[in-house]
Amino acid sequence: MRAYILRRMALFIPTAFGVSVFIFLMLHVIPGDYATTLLLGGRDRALVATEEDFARVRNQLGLDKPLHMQYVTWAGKLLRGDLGISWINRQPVLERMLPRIAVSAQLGLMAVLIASIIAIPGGVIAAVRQDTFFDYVLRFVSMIFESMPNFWIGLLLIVGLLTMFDWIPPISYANLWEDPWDNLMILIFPAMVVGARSSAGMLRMTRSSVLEALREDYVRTAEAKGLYRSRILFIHVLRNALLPVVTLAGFEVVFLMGGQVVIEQVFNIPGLGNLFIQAVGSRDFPVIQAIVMFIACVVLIANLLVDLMYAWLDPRIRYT
Amino acid sequence: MTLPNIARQRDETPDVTLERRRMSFARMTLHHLRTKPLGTAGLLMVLTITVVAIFAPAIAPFDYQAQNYEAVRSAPNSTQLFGTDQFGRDVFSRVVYGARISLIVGFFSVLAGTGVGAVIGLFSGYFMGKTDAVIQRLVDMWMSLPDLILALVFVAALGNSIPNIILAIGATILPRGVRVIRSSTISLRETDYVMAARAIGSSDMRIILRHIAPNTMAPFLIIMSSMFGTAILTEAGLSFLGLGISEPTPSWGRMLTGQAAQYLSTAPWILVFPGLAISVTVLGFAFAGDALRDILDPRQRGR
Repeated sequence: MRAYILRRMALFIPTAFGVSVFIFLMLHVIPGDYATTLLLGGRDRALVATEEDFARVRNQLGLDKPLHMQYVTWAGKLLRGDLGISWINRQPVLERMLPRIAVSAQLGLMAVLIASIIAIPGGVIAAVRQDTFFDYVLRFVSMIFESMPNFWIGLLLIVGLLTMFDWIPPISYANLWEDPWDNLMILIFPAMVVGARSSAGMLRMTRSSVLEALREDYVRTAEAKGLYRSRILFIHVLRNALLPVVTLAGFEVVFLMGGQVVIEQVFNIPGLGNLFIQAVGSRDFPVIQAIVMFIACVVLIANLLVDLMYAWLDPRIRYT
Repeated sequence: MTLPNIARQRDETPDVTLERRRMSFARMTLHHLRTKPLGTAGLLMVLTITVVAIFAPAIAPFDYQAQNYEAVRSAPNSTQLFGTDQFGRDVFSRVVYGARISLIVGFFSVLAGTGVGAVIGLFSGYFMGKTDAVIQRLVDMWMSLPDLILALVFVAALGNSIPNIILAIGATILPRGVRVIRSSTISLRETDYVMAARAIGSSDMRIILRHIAPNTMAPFLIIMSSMFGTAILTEAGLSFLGLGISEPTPSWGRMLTGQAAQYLSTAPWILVFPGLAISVTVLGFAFAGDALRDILDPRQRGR
């Protein structure tokens, strides 16, 4: 096990390094010169910039140095926890990101909680009653949910809430610690939308995991012994089938981030995705780089933990 | 009574398999259409949208750009089937033209993503070794970014013209193509006919092109059909965020963005129909893709 952990962890470092090179090259090589973007594209188009202005901006941003030196400077700072300064409002990137990470994490957790509450019992019932009407309806509904764009579900939910309860998405955001009730009321609906979509995949996983466990020899043995069906289901099937599902559900928070980006826009939630969209819109490269690096690292760490968890649960994995 | 029945059943079993083998392509298609009602429905949905996209100028009653300030936000009626938007543009015509963008972006990004992914997967799986290890790390890295975020990075770097959006969405599909084709290549390279080809001295190139590539067609088609819907959703997401297709080109995602949200309660048709168009198209591809997977890969049936 220790050898496996070390081997698996050793893979993390080159992968994270690869991501950093990729994101750096993406933003530095392809668009040509972004002093131009900053001087002309970002703000006033009529602004007349001289060659000296360009040179000054490039010098300030360190863009006149060779590319590999720029990367080393950036990566070196990154390792020391310095994410740089936003080009748009000159604030330190880390300072802007931290409160938003908390908001997005809370939204993600709530979404996963909602998804699990729907998907896990649903998946178990669909598996136990395989190929019945209930099974078909659940699978059909989950497919429909997966086909609807999540921002559209969000918009429709807002229409529904507006017409039925006169509820509109609040303009300001309430902090969890200062105003917990308002905060929950703001986040519950976006969490439902994000959760609804991820529950579809989770439902399918629960279903196939339970179906697999139902066909195991030990279930047949238990039936042969004459145990009650409920006892077989709860003690023999669910314990085995749900462990991986629950483990994975825990990490869904991380994998939901793509969907959250859009939903934070729809419901006006000041999360990380919201900041990311702002940064992409204004081509604020230090912020884009920092957020992408952060997300990639979180996903890679989650993948690592999922693999380790599986290896711990199922010793066969370690040897392949 | 019972005995002859059993005997007949016994006789029938081999007959059926023989019959299947002799079935012509047309009969096989018909057979699948009959046994897979959801798949058939999906196929019909996809075909309808395709026809609408191709003949958009003939189907749309109005110009998708024409603004009519006399009829702003008018409710669906007999001339404007889906009503008009905040600029008095006919929503139906815009939805019809929007099918073009969705299908074009979806088709080319899936083709590019799975195509390039398949080529990489073939070589990576066939040669194994160090190159394969490096490619797999790159795939891990690629997949550590959520689809939409990866696509947004591409758009931020390259700008949001239609070819760039196709490239951005294709890039999100690429690693999945690599994974799927690589794993089927690995199992194919151990088959007897590949061994035989190697024994008579066929070159690696010939083995890959003649013996392995044609046999990866089934997983290739499966991944293509299942990614099509995802690609359309990603495009809609990008356009909704205002970072995808730009006005005046009508894109379903774009139609749901910005000011449109303000008319949620007063003019819901501006939002309902484009969203419905996205959902129906994606659902059609999902149904068709599932049926295709069942037909081409019987092991996955019922999962």
